[in-house]
Amino acid sequence: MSYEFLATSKTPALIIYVLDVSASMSQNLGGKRRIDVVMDALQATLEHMVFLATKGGKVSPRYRIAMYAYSDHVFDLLGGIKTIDQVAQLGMPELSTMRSTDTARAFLSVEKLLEQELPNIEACPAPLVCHMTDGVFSGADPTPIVKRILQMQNSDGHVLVENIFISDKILSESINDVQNWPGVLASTPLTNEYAQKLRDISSTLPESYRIMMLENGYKISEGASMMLPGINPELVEMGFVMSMATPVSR
Amino acid sequence: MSTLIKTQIPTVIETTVTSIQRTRFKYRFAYARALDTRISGDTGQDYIVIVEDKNRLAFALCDGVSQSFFGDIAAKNLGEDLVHWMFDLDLKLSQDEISQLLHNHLESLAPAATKLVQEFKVPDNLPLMLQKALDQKRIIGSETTFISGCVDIASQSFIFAWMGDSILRIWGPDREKTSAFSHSFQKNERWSTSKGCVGQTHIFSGPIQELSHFVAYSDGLTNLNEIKMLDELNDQFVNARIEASGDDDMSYFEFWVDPQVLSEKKKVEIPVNLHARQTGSYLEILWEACTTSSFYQVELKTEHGEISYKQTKLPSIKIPLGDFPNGLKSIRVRKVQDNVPGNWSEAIYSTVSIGETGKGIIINPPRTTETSNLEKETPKGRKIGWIIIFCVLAAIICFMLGFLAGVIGTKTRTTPTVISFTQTPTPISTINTLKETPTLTDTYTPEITVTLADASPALTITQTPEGFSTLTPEQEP
Repeated sequence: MSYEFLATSKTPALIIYVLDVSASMSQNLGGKRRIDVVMDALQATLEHMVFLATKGGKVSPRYRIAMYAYSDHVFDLLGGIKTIDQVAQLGMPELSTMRSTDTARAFLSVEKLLEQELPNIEACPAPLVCHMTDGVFSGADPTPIVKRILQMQNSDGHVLVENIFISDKILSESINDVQNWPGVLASTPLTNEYAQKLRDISSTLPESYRIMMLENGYKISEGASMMLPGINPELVEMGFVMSMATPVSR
Repeated sequence: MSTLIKTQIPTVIETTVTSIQRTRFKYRFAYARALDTRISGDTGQDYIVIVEDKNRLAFALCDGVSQSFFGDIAAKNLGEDLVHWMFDLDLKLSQDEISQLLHNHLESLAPAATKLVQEFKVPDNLPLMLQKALDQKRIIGSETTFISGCVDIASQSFIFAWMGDSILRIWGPDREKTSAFSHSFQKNERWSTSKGCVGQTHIFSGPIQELSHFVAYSDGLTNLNEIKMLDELNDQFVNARIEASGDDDMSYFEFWVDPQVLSEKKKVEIPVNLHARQTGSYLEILWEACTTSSFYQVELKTEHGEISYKQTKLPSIKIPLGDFPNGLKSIRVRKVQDNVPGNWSEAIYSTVSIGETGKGIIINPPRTTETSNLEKETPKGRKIGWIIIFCVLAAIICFMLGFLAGVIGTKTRTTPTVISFTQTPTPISTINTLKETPTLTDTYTPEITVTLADASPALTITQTPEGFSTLTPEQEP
């Protein structure tokens, strides 16, 4: 349970993105539609993964990516898991907003994928699920499914679940300096009930991930939750940086 | 001029453990690319290069940083430069001087290497994300970690320099010495084409007597860190690691000094004519300057057996008499050359306690009963005596041989093919030169030396020629 397995071409890290594309994602965040902020942050994240995985003139398959968008239905954006070198070839998918927020359905797809994958990735870094949403689920409560996912594990550790909650009604205090923000701790007061629920179903940031975050300029505290309040584009970006903080060799 | 041999381990194929045996040292190396590099048929980003002659070997093991812009650019360029820089390095310089020189040199390499990076062409048809990543990396530059070193048998010294997390392990004659610097293999330290030195350069040097063996390997082989016993690092073991392809390139270099070299103690001059005198309230200790010397070490032993040491670069030292309230029993001095101490000189002894007053200093010549704890030198006077006896005996033997040769020569008529005449009577003149001032009572006898070069064994006959008389002092012009 070390979360110290390196993401390598022989032992790639599996990262599953679960993106809410409900109608509310058309609302404004920092002068842009929320969905565009998310896609920009995701694009930057994938580009940074390519940067980390590039050796010489080639992209090494250090990361494996799955990407689901959900509203009333769940959409597999990449057509299964793709290695980062394949993603670099494919480029970013385009998203448009839809209607409701069936979060439980999306996590069921994730659970199914992990059940298939875990037996084959025993020596790889623990998989990470990065969920981005901007509002309360409209279908069944996803909590039981997420808790089952949190119990899944391989030799490196339990599956990590990260939640990026895009809302301006989460924290009682504003965050002026993202780089020096300590993160959401167990004691951090959250003004939104759904934010509290999301914190409950978020993993605690492993120390090896925290070190990677420190190297990326984020002074996040020990014991911080992998729950990010997406109150501005910088924090959304920070959330995506966290999703790719699997240790890698240099 | 000895032959220079350069060996560069190929970076496009795998090389299993390969051993090279030379007269005074041996070494072995191995190289393997990362799995994905092998699959794609690309060049490895580790680089090993060796330059050697019969007495000196320099090497560079560089590990290109994969997250930089084509780490193999930095690894190759730095390795090629550094190995020659190391080979040409004056190992008599101090560690600080070398450290400064190396830092300056590494900094000076950056501009030309930056130009190489800027001019490096990448394919046009790359995916946009990869193109962006390479553009960012080009700004960062190409980076490499390195371990480089030089072992010189002639000057009996070695030096290593490194930056980054490749591993260097050193064994002395009795044990591994890596713990002295193992903390300094820092992941974030490297040489960059755009920034020069990123972090600190580390140096470790010393006399060859402290180095029997060393191993250097890149971080792709860090599982070798667990090996404590040298005999486990056999070819089979290293090959198993090399063949178990991983995510990182693997490079390995190992070196042994020939045990014969280690047993040859460096010949360091021994100071002579050690004497001391009182100058005011100081004891001044003097000796004849050695031809070359890093510094001298003076050993001062008190009546109570306490020993203290002083260092000086001059062939003399002044010590306050008050430093020896318990009296001074003996003094000796030795030269230290390139951090290698020579043997101690003959000790001189104080027969009168110096005490606080410093009065009554008498420093006696060496006692014949006292020996230094290292190899004792023959006193000069005694040595001359032995030489005189030897030469007289040689003269008698030569005379007898000459007589015999005369008898034999008339009977067998052996014709010498090479004949040289030396009118200076060799044995007697040798005796005379040993006497510092020849006196008028000396007798000079002219002699002819005939060398029979083709005789087996070669025969030298010395005779007083007929018709010449022995010169007495009264007859000299």
